[in-house]
Amino acid sequence: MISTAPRRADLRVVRIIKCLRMLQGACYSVDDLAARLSVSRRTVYRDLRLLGAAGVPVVRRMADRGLHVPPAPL
Amino acid sequence: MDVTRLHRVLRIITLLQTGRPFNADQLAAECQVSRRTVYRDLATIEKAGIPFFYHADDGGYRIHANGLLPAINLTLDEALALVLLAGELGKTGRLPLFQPARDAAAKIESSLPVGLRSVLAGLIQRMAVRPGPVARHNALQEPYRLMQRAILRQEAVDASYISFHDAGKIRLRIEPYWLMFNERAWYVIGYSSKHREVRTFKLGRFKDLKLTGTHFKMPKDLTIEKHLGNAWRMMRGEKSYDVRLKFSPLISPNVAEVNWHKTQRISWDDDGHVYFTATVDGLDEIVWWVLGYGPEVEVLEPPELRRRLAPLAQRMLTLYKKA
Repeated sequence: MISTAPRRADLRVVRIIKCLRMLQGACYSVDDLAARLSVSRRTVYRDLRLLGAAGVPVVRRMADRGLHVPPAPL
Repeated sequence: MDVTRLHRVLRIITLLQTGRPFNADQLAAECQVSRRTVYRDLATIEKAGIPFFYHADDGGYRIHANGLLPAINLTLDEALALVLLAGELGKTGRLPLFQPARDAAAKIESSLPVGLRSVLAGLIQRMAVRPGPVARHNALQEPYRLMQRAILRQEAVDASYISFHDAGKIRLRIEPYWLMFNERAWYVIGYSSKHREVRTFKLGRFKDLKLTGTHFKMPKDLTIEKHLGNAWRMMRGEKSYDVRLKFSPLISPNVAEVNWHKTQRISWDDDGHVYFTATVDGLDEIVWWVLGYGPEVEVLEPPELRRRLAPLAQRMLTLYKKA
């Protein structure tokens, strides 16, 4: 358990960074993100909350409710 | 997972992106963690696909600003496909669409992460895509743009056209439906009021084009596939023929491995002949293809195609009688 824990946390950070880079380039729905990152919608929501907590603003576009991160230095 | 780790990793990325060099000690100090933690974070950043570089001369890490392709993370295969296809096609003269494709390929290449770029450069030197010969049409840019505009606005175009079919320069009004690059040249397919039908015109033979301001409506449900039907290449004849050809064993393997036509069927006999059948609208194009194989192919059907070939073969015989 002790040896796998950091690895899982690591995968998570890697995934969140990938997610962030996707959201910086385009709009995605939660379903899109879940499919592209091969995780559940629940995990996507958790990742997005973490991104928010780390100071990255994830914005929901009014028109189609697509998620994105407005252009700002990563 | 607590948010401090993510926060720190994002902070390190931001620092490295400034272009200023940071060594491990400086990053550790900035983030108030150990060097070991910094190394672990750097490994994570690398895993996330963000390329950073270590410069031995100042001992610092940097992320090259152009190393990041924000939305599009191209794989090597994807980058290779774009750069090679667009780049090589772009070499075929200054054709519309192809020339800008080459410029785009150059941009994509130069914005690739350094590691990917050097692998790509090595591969490209050893790979070639060779498109066929293309028409030497000059000054296509203007008719190309005008036709694009006319297609978008559904506006008829007045023009002169150098027609081999009608022997000379003709004036016509065309309602352009499609721009098509087919093998060698750019074409416009559209309704010609002079000919009272949808026809195919070579873009390079138009002169004095003018938008008329007259709006047209394209027939519903007409697609380019429907329009071309079973044409051998792009000139669809009125009548449909079931063509049956017998190829000699010498060239049969070469013929059989290519998809020449969407309706083609291939069968072999025990002596190594290939029997090629296809349903073709019109014989004007296929006759030249058949002729290209000279005596290595025999037309079994239709009789019309045999009758087209016989006089051509006769004339060739006369040409080469006294070799």
